Amino acid sequence: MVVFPDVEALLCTWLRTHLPTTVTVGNKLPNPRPDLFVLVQRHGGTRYTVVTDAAQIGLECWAVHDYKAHDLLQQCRWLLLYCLPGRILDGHTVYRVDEMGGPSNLPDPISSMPRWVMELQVHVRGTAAA
Amino acid sequence: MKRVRIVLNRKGVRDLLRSPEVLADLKRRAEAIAAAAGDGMEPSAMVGKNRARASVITATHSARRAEAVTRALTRAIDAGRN
Repeated sequence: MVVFPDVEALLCTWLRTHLPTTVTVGNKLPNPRPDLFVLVQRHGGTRYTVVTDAAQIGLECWAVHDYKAHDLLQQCRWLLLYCLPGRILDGHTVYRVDEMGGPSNLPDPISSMPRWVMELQVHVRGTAAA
Repeated sequence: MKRVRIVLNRKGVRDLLRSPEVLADLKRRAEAIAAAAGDGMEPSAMVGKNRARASVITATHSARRAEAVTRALTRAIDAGRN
């Protein structure tokens, strides 16, 4: 039996160490909203093999200006697609990161705050249940 | 070791991808995603030039808002996997 990790938490922790300290990273919308914010939320995804989970991760980058939200998303995209695969996060190997949906300009309809979003699939190895 | 050469019957593959069975399967998946996503999501399926395809769109204002705020349609993709 295999237990899969909390991919949201793994990615939030990893992104925090690789993004500037001015960027807030989390899995819930903070109130009040910071100037630069990355929201990492799991939107589904199923078990891929007996030992790997293919988590569908939604990435949202919020900023006070549209271009800053875009640039932040591209930075996260680069980190996740090119720097993350092969790394071991808290004992869990990240095998592969695929794009499910590319960058999309989707301002928040409630606050009109600029927001760029994208959808990723992150393949992570689980651990044997005790 | 003897090498094996595989030649795809491209017309056969095309006929398969455009078959009523594939269209029905895609339609079923699109309907499942739309049902899981909530009201205002509209599934559709059609046979294209080379393959059948299906899609789900946000057809109403409230559906578009649900996708923008809670990512209702994006979160429902798993409903189409089985």
